[in-house]
Amino acid sequence: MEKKIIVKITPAAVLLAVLVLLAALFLTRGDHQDKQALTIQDTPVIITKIRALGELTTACYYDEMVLSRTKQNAFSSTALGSLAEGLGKDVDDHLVLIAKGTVRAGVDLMDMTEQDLRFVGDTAYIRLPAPQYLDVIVNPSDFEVFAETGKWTHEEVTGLQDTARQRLLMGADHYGLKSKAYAGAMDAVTDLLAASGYTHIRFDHPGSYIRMPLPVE
Amino acid sequence: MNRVFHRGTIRFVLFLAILLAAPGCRGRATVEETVQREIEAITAMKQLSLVEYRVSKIIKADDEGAWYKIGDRKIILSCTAYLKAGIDLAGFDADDVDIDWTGKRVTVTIPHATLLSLDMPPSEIREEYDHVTMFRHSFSAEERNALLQQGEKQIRSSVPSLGILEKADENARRFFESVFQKMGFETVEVAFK
Repeated sequence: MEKKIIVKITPAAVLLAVLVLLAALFLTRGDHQDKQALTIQDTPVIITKIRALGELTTACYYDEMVLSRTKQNAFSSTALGSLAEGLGKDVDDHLVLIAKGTVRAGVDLMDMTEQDLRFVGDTAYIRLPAPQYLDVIVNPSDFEVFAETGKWTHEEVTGLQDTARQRLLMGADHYGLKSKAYAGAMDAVTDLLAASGYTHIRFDHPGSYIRMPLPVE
Repeated sequence: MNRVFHRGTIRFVLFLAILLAAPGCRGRATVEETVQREIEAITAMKQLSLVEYRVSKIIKADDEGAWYKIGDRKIILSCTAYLKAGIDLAGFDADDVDIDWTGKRVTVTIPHATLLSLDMPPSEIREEYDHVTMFRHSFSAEERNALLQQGEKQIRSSVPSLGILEKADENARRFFESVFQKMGFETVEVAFK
C-alpha cells in the first residue's frame, strides 16, 4: 500500500513565505546606499619623517580619465553564465572609476653644488639640475566610483588606481612636461636674479651657454 | 497534468545541474582593462617646496547600521601621506627685494609658506582589518573610497597643528639667506608678507 504525502499550500503559508523573504531583503538591503552615514573615527596623524627640500616646481600636468576593469564572477564562469552572455546579458563584474590627477615637475635645487652657481660682477652663471617629475598625485578625493557590480577587493581597486598614476606619467611624457618644467625653472630663476639686481643671467647647459632674455628694468 | 509538471521540473533541474557542473568553458581572458583619457592640461607655476612631512594615519569605521539591521561591519585601513610645504613665487618681483649695494645689505620679503601638495598614494593604503557579519554587505569600493576621502580630509585639516608651515618658513629663511650670501651680500634679512 503506497503511502501518499500531501502537502497543502495554503494562502497563509504563501503569505508567510513572502513576508519572510521581504523581511530578509529589508534587513540586508541598503548598506551601500548608506555610505553618507559612514564616518570614520578621529585618529591622530603621526609624523614619521621630515625631509628638507629645495624643489622648484614649474609645470603641472592635469589629466582626467576613466578606468574600468571587468572580471568574471562565480556565476559568469559557469556554463549558465556563458549561456546568459550568449543571450546578450552582461553577467560579469564591473568597476568603473573616474580619476583625476596631477603630475608636478621641476628641478631639485638640492642637487646643485657650489660650482653650479657663480656670480661675476652683474652676471650670474647657473647650471640647473635636470628636470624631473617631483610628484604624481592621485588621492582618494580624486577618484569617483562611477559604477560597481560584484565584489572588488581593496587590492583590486588600488591596482586599478595605480594604473591612473602610470597613465598620468605617460601623458606627462607625451606632452613634454619635463622640457616645459625646465624652461619654467629658467624663467623662475631669471626672475629671482633679475629682481636681485643681476642684469645678465646665463644658464650653463652641458657644453654650451644659453643667453636668456632679460626682463626690462 | 501533475505528471507533465514533474517531468518538466526534473528536466529543468537536470539541465541546470549539467550547466552548473561545467564551469569555465569560456576561453576569453578573465580580466579586461580599458583606460580612456578625457581631459588634459598643462599649467605653469612657480612654487618652491621646502619641506616634506611623511605622515601615517589609521582610518577606522564601525558601521552598526540602522536599528533594523542585524549585525555590524568594521573596517580598518592604514595610509601614508606626503605633505609638501613651501612658498609660491608667483607674486615675487623686484619690489620684494630691497638692496643696499654700498652696505652689502639686502632685505627680501616673501610670502608665508603654504601647503603645496598632499600625496596619498593608493599603493601605500592597506586594508588591515575587515569584519562583516552575515546579514550585512561587505564594504564596497565606493564605501572604502568614501572612508579614505574622510581620512584625507582629516590629514589636510591637521596641517596647522603639524608644524609643517612653520618649518617651511624657517627653511625658506635659510634658503634665501644662503642664496643672497652666495651673491656676496653680508647682511640678509628675510621678512614675510
